[in-house]
Amino acid sequence: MKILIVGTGVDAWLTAAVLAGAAGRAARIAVRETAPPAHGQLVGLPALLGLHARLGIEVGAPLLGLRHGDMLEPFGDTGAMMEGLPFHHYWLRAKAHGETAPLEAWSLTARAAAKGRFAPRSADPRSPLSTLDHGLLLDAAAYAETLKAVALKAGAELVDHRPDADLVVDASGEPGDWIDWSAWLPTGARLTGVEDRIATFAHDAPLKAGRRARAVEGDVVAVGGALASIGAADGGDLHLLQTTVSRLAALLPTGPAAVAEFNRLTAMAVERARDMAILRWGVLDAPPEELAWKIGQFESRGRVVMYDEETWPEGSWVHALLARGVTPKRWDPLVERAPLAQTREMLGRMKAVLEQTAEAMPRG
Amino acid sequence: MTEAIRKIVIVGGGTAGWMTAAGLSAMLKGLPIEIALIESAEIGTVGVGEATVPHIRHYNARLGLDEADFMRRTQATYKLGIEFRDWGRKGETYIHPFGAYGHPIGGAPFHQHWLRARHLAARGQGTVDPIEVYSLPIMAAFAGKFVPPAADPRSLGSTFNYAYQFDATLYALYLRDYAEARGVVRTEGKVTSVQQRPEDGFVTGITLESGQAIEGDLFVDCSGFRGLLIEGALKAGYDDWTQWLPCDRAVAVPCDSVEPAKPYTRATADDAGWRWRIPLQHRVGNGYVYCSGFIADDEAARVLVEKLDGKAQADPRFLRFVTGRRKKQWLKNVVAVGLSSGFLEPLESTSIHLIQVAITTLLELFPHRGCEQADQDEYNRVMDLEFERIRDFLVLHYHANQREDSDFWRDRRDKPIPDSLAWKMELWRERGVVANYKDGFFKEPSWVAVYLGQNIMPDGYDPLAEALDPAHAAQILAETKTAVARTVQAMPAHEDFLRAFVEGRTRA
Repeated sequence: MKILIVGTGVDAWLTAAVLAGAAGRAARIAVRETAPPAHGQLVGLPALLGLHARLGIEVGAPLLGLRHGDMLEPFGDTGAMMEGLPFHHYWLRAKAHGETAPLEAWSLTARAAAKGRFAPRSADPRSPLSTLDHGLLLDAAAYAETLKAVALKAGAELVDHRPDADLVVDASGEPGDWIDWSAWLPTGARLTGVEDRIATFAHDAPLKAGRRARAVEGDVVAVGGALASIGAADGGDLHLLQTTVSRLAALLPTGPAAVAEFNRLTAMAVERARDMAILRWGVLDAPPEELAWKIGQFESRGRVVMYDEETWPEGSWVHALLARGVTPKRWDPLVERAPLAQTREMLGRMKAVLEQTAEAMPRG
Repeated sequence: MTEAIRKIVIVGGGTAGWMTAAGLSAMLKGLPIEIALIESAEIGTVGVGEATVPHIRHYNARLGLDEADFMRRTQATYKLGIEFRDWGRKGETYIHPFGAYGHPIGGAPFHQHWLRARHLAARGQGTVDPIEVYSLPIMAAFAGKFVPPAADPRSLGSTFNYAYQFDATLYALYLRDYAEARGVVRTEGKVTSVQQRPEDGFVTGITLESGQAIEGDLFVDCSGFRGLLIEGALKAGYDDWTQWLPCDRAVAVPCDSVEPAKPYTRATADDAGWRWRIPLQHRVGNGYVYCSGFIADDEAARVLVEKLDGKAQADPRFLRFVTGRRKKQWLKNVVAVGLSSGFLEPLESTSIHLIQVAITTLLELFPHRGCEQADQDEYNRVMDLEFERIRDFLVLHYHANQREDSDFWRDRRDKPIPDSLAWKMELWRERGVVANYKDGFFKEPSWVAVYLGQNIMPDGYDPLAEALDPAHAAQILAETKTAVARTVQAMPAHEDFLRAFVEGRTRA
């Protein structure tokens, strides 16, 4: 099988690195680089670390969370499931009875950031350090160069013509014939700075939001900026690229059924990531159906509905919903199985442990 | 209304009623909620689902049941999968196992490497074994062996899961003891009327034949097919799925065991449906699920009895049903659990599983007295998806047949299938890819088992399988086969392990 990647930067080289690594001798990967990689900074979500481990690279600087407006969304876990129920239900109940600390007071990642501390996630589930997680701040051009080296080492070839191929990947970053989402997302997020390993965003980046009607059209499959544009400089864009490319490696969509399945799953993935962008900085007057359902469920009873092909984990949705002012009217009545005093004591103890743990983490 | 629920009334006993009562009494412990269960001795329970899927272990664990005690009390045996006989063609057999085939190799699932080996063998390059030799639960099942899965995830012995085959009536009695010990109040009696609030139709109470009135805030309808509350009082409506799953009757007969209990259920395709065979400790459960348009009741009973492998223990018992799903499984303050919520034939042992999913989902969305619309909507979304995905998997068994010996099977093959199944099959046929989803019980290994078991062979395979040199791939396949055979050989006989476990001589 022959795959030709046409494009530039991280879109092109992440695709090449993943496909060359997965294909081995099964496919020939050629890359036609149309322009030098763009400069700038990229944000990667914690899930990117797993890909980097598989590719054998260590790049970027750790990031502990995202700040949209005044609200902090730390990576990693916030609180812990108790008696099978998500933590935020206990917090909602305590808050209704006088608790004043914000939800992120139970995030070790957030506490570490506030104290200028850092440690990687621990694999030991009993340690509070296992609730940590971090994303990455990446220099776009340097990252593309690293991925290029990985791809070429894994057997991808750099070409300057357009060889025959069974599948062509459009990694040009150029928009196609968009389904227009600008009413929901008139602008995109823009990284304005990083402080205490927290990336801060403004929401004034020019954007022509939308996605290609079909990710695969004929023998061309679009990835990254050529597939969709939702202005998610907060890690959403890079994560979508990552999942699109793993789906590409899993399905290698050349036959009609695989193409249909690739298009179906990719459309869902892009839309779920889009929903988060709309929630964070978009127009919420008439949200897309799935987002409206999500907001309705959270508002009604603090439930986070997770669909197929989500980009953001449940914890991110909780923070983002609260940040946008969606406040649950109820908490899960099952949290009341524990007496209020016991819950408050438990929350107090957890907070103290996290505070001490953060204090004991190395500065860095 | 955000006042807390004070009282839950479960209408109907049986497996659904007592699973609900036990589950709610365990999981709501600590809340000031009364739970009442009304059952009528006059109305018998259906108790068709005697075979389960591995999720039942989570339910039992959440209740804190002692496994050996539970197995003793319910006459349970272990179950590693389901054997399907005569489904693709007459004379063929395969097992749908609770576990995967081998491990993924490189970027491709194991079955893709097998498909490639098969493709090469067809061109005279190398040989290929049937895929079941790479599955530990299948080979253990065929050998009549069992041990619980190993804890070490790197060990081959950890690559499967198990369920139980048990007497559902005994299970209901066992859970009744459990629930009553935790405060559930059982009332014997037949419901004669249902009271509803005039302004919004919420059910406020029921009245029994004795004249006793029982009020409640939340009602769980476990009254069986007729759906006393969900349909009788609330007229929720029913989606009829008989166009896809036309079997509408069943006849059941228990018989004596004539051999050591097998660690698997058997489903044998017959002329107008299929017959189940479920080995328990003390007997074998048998039944024939059939389509009344293709066979008469007495003929179905005759066939069933004639094909029993032991002496019948009772007269044949008949059941009627309509496959489908209640349009709203939760409506106002009534939640339908069990047969009142819909019916999918027990071909893949999903009846008890659906009860369990209903209970879990109800607990996840446990309401206040007002039963907010958002709670009902989300519950119905989750349950609808669960029902539809199981339905499609069942339809696949009927559709994917090459039998020429019966009108029923020809008809099933020729009739249209749901679109949601059609594209899954196209995806499989093209290159052996199983459609991916997050929610829904049956995942990749299950689909692979039924597709291959019923001769739906993909035209191609994952090109990434070619990342491996064919000789190297052949070696990995051969090693897997040997390791499976060796592991099975070291396992005790199912019957021996079972006896030792229930008698407390060994621990799981």
